[in-house]
Amino acid sequence: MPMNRRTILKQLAGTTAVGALAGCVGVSETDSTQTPEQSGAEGDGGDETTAGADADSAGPNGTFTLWHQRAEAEKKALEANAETFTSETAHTAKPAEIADLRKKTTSAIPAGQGAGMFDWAHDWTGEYYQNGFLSDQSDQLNVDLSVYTRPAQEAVQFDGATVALPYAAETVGLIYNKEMVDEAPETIADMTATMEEYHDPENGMYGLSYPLDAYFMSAWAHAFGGYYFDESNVELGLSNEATLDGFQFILDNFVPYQPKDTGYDPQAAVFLEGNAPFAINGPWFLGDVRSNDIDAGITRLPSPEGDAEPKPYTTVKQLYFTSTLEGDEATAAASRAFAEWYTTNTDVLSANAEEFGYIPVHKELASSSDLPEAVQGFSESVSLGTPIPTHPNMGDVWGPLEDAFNSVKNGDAELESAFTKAEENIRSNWE
Amino acid sequence: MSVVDSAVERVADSPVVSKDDLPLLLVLPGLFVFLAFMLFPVLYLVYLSFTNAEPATLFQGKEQWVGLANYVTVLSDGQFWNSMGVTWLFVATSVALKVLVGLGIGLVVTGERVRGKRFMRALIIIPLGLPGIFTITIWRGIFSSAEFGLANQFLQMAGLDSIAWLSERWMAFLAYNVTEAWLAYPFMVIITVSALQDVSEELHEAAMIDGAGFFARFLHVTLPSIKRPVLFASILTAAASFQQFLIPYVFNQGGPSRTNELLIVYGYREAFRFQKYGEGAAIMLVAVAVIGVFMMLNVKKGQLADGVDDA
Amino acid sequence: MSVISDIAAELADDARAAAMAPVESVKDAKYTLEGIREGRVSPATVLKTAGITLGAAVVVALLLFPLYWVAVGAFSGTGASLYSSSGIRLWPADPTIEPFLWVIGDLIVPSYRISLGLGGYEVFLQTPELTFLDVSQYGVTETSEFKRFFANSLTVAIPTVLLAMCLIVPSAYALSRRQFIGRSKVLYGYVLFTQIGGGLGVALLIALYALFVQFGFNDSKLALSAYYAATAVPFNTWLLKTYMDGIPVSYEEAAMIDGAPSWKIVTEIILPLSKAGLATVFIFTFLTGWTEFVVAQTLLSTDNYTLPVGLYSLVGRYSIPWARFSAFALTFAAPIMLIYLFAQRYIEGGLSFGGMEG
Repeated sequence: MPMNRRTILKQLAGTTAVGALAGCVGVSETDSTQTPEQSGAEGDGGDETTAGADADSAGPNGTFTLWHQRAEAEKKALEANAETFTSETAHTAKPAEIADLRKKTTSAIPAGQGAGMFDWAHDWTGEYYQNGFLSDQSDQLNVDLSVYTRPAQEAVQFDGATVALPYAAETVGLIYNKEMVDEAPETIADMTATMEEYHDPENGMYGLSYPLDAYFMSAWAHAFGGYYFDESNVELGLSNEATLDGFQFILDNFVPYQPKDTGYDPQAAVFLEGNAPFAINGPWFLGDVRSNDIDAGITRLPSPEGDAEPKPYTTVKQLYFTSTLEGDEATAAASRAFAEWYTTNTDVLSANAEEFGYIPVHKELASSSDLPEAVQGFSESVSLGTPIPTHPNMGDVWGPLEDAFNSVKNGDAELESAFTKAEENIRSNWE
Repeated sequence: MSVVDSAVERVADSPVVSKDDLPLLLVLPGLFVFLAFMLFPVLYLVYLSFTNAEPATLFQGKEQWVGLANYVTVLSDGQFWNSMGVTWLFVATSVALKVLVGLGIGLVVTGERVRGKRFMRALIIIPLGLPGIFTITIWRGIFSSAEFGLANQFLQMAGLDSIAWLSERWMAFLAYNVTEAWLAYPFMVIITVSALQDVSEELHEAAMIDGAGFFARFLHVTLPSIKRPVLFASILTAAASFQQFLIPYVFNQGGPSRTNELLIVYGYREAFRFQKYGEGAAIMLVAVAVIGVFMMLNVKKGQLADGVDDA
Repeated sequence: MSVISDIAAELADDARAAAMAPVESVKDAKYTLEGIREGRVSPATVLKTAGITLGAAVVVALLLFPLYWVAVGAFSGTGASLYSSSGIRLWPADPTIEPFLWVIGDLIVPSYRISLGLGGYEVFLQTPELTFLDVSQYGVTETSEFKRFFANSLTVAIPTVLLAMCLIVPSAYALSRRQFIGRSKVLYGYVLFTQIGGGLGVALLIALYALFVQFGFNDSKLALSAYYAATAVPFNTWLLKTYMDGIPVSYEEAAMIDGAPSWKIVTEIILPLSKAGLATVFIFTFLTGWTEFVVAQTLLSTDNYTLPVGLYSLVGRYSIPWARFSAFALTFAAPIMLIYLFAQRYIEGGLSFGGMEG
């Protein structure tokens, strides 16, 4: 063994010596096949400097990271947008996919390790601002907030500070299977007639696909004048009669026609397999609908009898500015530039609307009639609805609300007492 | 090697380090690394449990010391005692189930006449390699209350009515137990199988000569021989059952109207959902203290902590 | 070092046996049939064996049914879901391996051009492009980042195991065979701490993260490995200790009488005899490094994500793409299955607690 090793080592040494000598001798290469590589290398350097000279912003050039938790297709779109931005300006945008954005932001930002920007719905605005996670960019933004719709403007501000820029809105609407439903229903009565026709659980058919969580149910809770949470008075409205009427409405009109398991997956499955004519869901559902080859139409939620109008909670998707931007002018400039570009560039916004059903919050686009059909349906719902309050106390409402509703649905509690208890629970956590 | 030998001997002989303390040096690195990572977080957690930390206060460093207030709130909450009760009940039922199932399956895959045992054993170990959230979501799908949930479909095929698994308290409890048993059986089976393989053949043959049938042999020869490892495994799985969070949470957030809320789910809902870190820390420490005492008592009773010289 | 060569030899044996298994079973069957014909083997025993084996197989099938159901979903294309209002499907409605192709992506080794300048000439060697799998041929346009996660997971799991073994083996030996001050305290302390990691831990997570940032370790895979090794110490030290308890002291005493220094006793006697226990600890520590994701996703940046974090990031806000999710999860579990298949003989020996008569 050692003998062989020695011979191998000798040979290796020999070849390296020869190679080194050869290198010393024949470097100056005039062979034309070699030079393209060398000039190519230099060319790259040249390209970089010229790109820099094209910068139109006078300030320092920065790089920032953008955290997001987007699904596959939307992730790719964001990355493409970031690349466009990076190549057209002197700044660099780096999107990074995070598995659990909430945990990541709550642990990294206070430790000073957060990204410059992250992409999420507006419900964190109040809470995160109070925790000191966000930075107020109102003085340095180049865009006037009035280009956005009113709800979007409210969503990005808290306590007078502008901490984000909005790019889309979302809410739930009525999705119907065109093969099963000829005409979109305008009233609940119409809808019930169709649901009655198709509902046949023994054969796996249901009237409605409707995940029941606090967000999805908000339309009806608000329909009769009720409310979950009154931001201006910081008061709960769960046990108000009008709100309770809304919950009772769901129990009477929808629960009998849907599968008993009200989680998202089982409800979605029923519609995706073509076993239900209606689904109450949001734009995020469209991807699955398309890949299951369902020919679907979208319209606003139908109205109950009388004056009631469904008013769902809407969420505004926005790009938040984090506190790590403070004191780092270059990064802050870069993130502002990207946010302004992304939220006002009509090409980008239209592409998003087309592909993902993002409802524009840019005034110009929102009222445009060029919106794709899917977006128009949801857009109507958005205009009827109201954004989720950004007050930090709002976050405590969802859980107890769902508990109360589920216990009533199971028959374990009475409507009024369940929600009164829920209110007490929430209030006790507010102090 | 000899250089190392003489070095070790010189260290052992030196007056500063007595030979008896040398083993301590072997243990210290492990202990040190463990404490380095866990000591600060645990101490911090203990500190938090005495404060009223919330995100609004915590991240600005403004949390206030409230003494035992958190503990008082927790221990005087009726829901806490309900959780304690349900959790211990769950531990009792699931450990019994797990041990029986583990033993049973272990016997099946080490049976004499079974061909292809090794391959079967490798197959049934697979669930241990999958992430918990994945397997628990699958079982949630099986026990779905909908008529087309898998369990309900089997029931319908057998001619029975479908059950609203997750909206009835004891049905949900049953579902928790079945899922927990499925998640834990690979661990129990590994231990049981190795323990069964160590049962001495001579004892079995002697018993057979004396005319003992299969069950008699099982009760009097097999069981006593595997008592120790199975006891150790039972203690560990009891602790795992006690701290089970994902199953009740993913299934139905702690039972219809919080009746099946296991202790950690209770902690999550009371504290972490509302981001009351101080209270959450208090609950977690209570849970750890309770289960820690339980484990230590059992270890002592089973004499598992004895060294090889004490036996 | 001889321990390693022993293990390598036994692994090779196992591999050979596994490959030869089908052949062996055919030979076995032929032998049994001949035996029945010749009257050597009674048909009753064969039937009994077959019956019992079948029974065992049924038990195994029942146990694994949920996984089978998921696997059906994994082979079903993008429309699959855990919930099917159209009834149970025992076979994929539209069988396709597209999800698995999506997971694995292209397996292409790019071509390299090695050039060497000698004198006035350039000598170059161009290796061909090796395409093991080109998924675009099957119509799969996107791929997951499984390979990157896989590489990251390996670079986390392997140091975890190495570091953990270095910490655990000496501790277990000392706790098993030596008396020293604080011994029982350490033992009981470890029992208490095996459970400290479980449960919620958001506050724990924040504290841990702050700790890492303090030392500048955030986003370091090596620091994560150290953390995993640290958390693995209590349980695995206990486990190994109980196995070492089963090795009779008489072996050591005999060696000591022969004049062997304690150093040699450990490496030449104790370690080889506890091969099985070592293999068990190896597997459990590997599992810790391979499947943990809560701390991993907090600590690591997107580029360094490990497999479990990658799996979790597939979960959308509302819905989960089941076909791809299942394919990813099953592929994720595959290396562990392989390790089990080969190491099982060691595990089975390792967890038994010898010397129970005493």
